[in-house]
Amino acid sequence: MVKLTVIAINTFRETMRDRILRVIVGVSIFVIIISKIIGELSIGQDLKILVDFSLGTIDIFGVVLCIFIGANLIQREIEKKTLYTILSCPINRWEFILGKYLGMSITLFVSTSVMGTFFCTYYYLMGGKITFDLIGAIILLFMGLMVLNSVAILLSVLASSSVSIIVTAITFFVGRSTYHLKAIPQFNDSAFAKYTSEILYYILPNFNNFDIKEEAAHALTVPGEVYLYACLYMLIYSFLMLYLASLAINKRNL
Amino acid sequence: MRGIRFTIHLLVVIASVNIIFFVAKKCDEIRPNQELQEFLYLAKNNEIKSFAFGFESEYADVLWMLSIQAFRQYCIEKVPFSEAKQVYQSIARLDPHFEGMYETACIYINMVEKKALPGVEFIENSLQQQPSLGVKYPKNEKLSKQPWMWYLLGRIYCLQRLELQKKDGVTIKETMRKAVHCMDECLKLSEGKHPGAQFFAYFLVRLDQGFSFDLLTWLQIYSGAEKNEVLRGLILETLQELISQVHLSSIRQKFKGYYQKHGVYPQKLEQCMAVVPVEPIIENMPKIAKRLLQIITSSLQKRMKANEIEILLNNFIHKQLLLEFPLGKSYIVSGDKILSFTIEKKYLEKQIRGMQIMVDRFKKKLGYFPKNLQEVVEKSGLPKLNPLPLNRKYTYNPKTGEVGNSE
Repeated sequence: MVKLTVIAINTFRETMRDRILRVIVGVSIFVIIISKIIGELSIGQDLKILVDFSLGTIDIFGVVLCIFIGANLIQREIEKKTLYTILSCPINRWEFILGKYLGMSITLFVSTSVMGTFFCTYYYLMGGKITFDLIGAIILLFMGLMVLNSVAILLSVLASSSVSIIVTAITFFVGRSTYHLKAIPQFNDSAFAKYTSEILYYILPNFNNFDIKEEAAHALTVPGEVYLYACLYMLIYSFLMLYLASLAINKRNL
Repeated sequence: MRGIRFTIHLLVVIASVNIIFFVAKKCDEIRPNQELQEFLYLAKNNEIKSFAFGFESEYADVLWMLSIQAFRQYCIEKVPFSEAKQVYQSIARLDPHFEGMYETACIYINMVEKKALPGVEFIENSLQQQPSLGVKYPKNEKLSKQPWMWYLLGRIYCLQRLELQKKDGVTIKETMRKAVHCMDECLKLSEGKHPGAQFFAYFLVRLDQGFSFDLLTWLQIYSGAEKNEVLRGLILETLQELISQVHLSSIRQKFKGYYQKHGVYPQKLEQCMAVVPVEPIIENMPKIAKRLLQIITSSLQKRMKANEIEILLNNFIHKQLLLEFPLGKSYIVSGDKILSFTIEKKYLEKQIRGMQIMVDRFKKKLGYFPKNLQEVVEKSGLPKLNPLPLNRKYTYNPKTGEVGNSE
């Protein structure tokens, strides 16, 4: 447990020192501020646009962090050869993977919290009402980032930095448009296409489960079950990805 | 040993995938992962997904456009617009501030549905309910205290009368009484300051006395239908008919006066009128509509009162029109009657279309086309075959079931 904590904290420190993190958080805060101006373009819907645009910003910049920092996490250790020093210590490889994951998760938590807190304060000052679902939307976005982080770590173990960055980005975009897979059977009568699309639909990470921006923007009540199952989905999907990452790193000749 | 490890790993992965399957399905059940178009086209569940940027009114616009497209299809291809009510309700739910432009959509849908405007029910309910639907208003504020809601309902009642003859015993008179009440309510809540309500309240009270209210309504729709050629064409025909009706009513007064004075009806209109109006031709109607709109716009800019505007409009129709647009068809003198070619032609088309519907129903019911139109009259329980105007006669093809007319 101590080893795990040490790796997690070190990963957190390391990622927090990364200049890209500060740039991304700074840019996202700037985008949240200007979203009010965009909102002015609509008639009487400026606050809705502020919510939608800001949550979208938190989401997208969180994803960028995952892709550029998370997808590089293990590979960088290998390239700098620091991994050999770590693994020469009495530590299990799965502990190393989990520690890295937790460290990166803390970074994501801190960055999402900073962006989220800024957005909530700004929204409140602009006359908006902070509801549970609004905060819930930010929490769900963070959960989605945890899933993407686990995918990024798996890919980081399996492939080189550039490949893992590209594949993580593709995974995110595919995971955001899984409904297209659902539509395939409507246009194709083949049983093969039907089953393949269904299996892919459920196997690929479905990031729409963590996206309640629309509901939050329109002040709609989100059932508690949505949070519960999204949390379960995040836990089990992350577990599977980290499990596979541990198996993969065990197989590697390091 | 390696085999056991592999099996354990495999089992863990399979178990995890199964749990992911279960949880993902559950997530889908609670909150379906659907594509935008499914909602926009109201295919299944009569819902609109309001997504990114919160432009709810944009969706209302999309639906409004859809309703216009459907209306156009109905006009050209006679494709029924079964989702009219759904579309209208969605527009109303998405954008409770749907003053102005959506009024036009109401009338399109009304023309297609040929029954009460679905929006009326919605607004009536909104005016009665406790919490506000509008995002701009605090929850505890009642919509019934919003003057614009009353004005809107009043306007919709006004539009309703254009197409509705009867609906569940509600006659035009009753509809107009409701409209007047709504305008009064609007004026009361706005402390007499709502200009639209002032204007309509004036015309509504004296609707029976003139044509101006109809004319204004159609001109308003015409000015908002710039890119809709089909609708503009239909409105121009209606305006042409309205002008003819105004001319006919003044000619008939003179005609009656001549009869009372001389004991015989005049052979020519010149005998009873110094200046004989002519029916405007359809080719001139865009220019005439433009002139009428100019008159109204400039009058409103000059802050003229409603009665003064009406005088100006009457003056234009009776005097200026002939000077500016001298080309036109003469009104027909037929014994003791004065007829308008445009109105009679419309009546002719209506009669033929009605008879065609009867023949089609006959075929659907009995499986064959009637031998002649008399058979339709007998088996449909109609009292008699209505004669056609303009001395036209029915033509009928028993092989194709096509009804037409000839000299």
